[in-house]
Amino acid sequence: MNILSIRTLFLCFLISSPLSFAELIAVDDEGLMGISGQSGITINAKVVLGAESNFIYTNTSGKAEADASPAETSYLIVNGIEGGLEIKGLKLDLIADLNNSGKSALQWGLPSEIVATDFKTEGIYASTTKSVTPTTSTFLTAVHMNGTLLLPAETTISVFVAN
Amino acid sequence: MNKMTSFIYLSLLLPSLSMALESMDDSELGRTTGEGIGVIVENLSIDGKTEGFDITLDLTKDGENKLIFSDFSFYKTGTTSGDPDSGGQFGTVNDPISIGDLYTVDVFSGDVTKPSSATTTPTTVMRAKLPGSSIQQIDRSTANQADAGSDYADDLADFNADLYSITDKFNLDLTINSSFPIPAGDSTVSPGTFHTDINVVGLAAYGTFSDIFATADGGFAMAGATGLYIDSVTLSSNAFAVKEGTGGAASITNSSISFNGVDIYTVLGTANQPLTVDTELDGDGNSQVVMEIGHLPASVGTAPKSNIYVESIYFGEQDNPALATSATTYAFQPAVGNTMEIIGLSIQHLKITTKDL
Repeated sequence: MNILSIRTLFLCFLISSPLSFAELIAVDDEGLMGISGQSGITINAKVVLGAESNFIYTNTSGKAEADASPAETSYLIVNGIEGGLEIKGLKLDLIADLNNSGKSALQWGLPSEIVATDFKTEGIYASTTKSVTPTTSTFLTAVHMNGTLLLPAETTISVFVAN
Repeated sequence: MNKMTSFIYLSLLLPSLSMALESMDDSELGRTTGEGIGVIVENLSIDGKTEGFDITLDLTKDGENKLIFSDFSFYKTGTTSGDPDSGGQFGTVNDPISIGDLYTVDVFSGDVTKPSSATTTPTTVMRAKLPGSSIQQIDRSTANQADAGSDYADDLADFNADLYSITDKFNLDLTINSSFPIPAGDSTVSPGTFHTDINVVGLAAYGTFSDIFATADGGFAMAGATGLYIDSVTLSSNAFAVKEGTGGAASITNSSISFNGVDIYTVLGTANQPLTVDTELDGDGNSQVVMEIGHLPASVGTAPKSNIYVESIYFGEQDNPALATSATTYAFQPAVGNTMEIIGLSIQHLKITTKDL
């Protein structure tokens, strides 16, 4: 039975080989010009946040949170983040020889547009409690962003291991 | 079967052999090469004017007091914001933005009051640097320019060659509108506004770094410095638009002030006087944030100096008689050159405590 299986498998290889020889056609100059040579990925992304989104930074005076007393614990709360944020044309690529330095780099091509649509916070608070309350939280400011930021010059950020 | 058993034993053994990672002590870390993450930015240009982009800060919860930032642009000097060729270089492979370098620094841990106490503790710090962090400020004082003569010209040429080989000059434009409630009973003024345009030309950073570390009794601490050279900064403002048809007084006309040849180098925290951020309780039991640069240790004696030079200041109207300094010259005009020098600023002790938290 085992010998039969091995023979069957061998036959399958023999049969499949001719099938896998797809026709190779020389690419002419015109065809080559159509190839960009770029690798990596390009991302368009849009996020719309509901008003329940929060960001909380906890300050424990250099101690572990469990060891810090209430007096040593305070919070910076970005409360009620909402609205739309869209990026167009964010690129990510790997570079083998960054600026002829011989270094490999991770290269971000920054988006050509960043669009904020009523992207805002309800408020940023300094607080002695982890949630915003009228008695324990102090309003610092609120931030609203609207409009389009252009990056017209194909800005890139290259990240590499520095010596 | 024996082979299979040997393979399993070998597989079990290999992980224990590879678990040879040990923590490094400070002396070992001191021998690190400072390798970290390098970042360079090419063709840097951001334009918020063409399509319009604004950020509003509400200063009160009711939203009546606001700061509105708009028309933001950051682009290479000598180009036009929004153009495809407006991008500039910031950093090179050999002198990049550097993040996460580990160094060992001797941080003062003795008694600040005793001249004989110079104890330090080797401390691992995480250093971040901007391109040109090794470039030092040159003495631009009028006294040095007069005394040093051609040596000053050489120093200036070296400074410019070093700085502008690793970064382009950039322009920064920004408009700030503040909005606040109408004063009670005043019907002549529309909702209050104060409009300021900021135009920075030829901006470049040098000598900028920050060390982040922890101290035994101060928690989070940092030491660092910032250097900026700017060809010119112009602030243009006008205030209080008058409501049409109310007969109110004319609005304040535009005014502007320009600072040319601005060189700012500031030190904020050192290994002897780190900047610490901590919390403490106030009299009401509320936790307040405290930022402090501790007392200068007596054994150190001298704190690093911060210097600010402004080559000339220009404001007011051209040839305004009120600003006449002679029959033909006027104060605060471009041709005169009004130099400002703040030299040798050193911090002996700084403590900032919040009050409203």
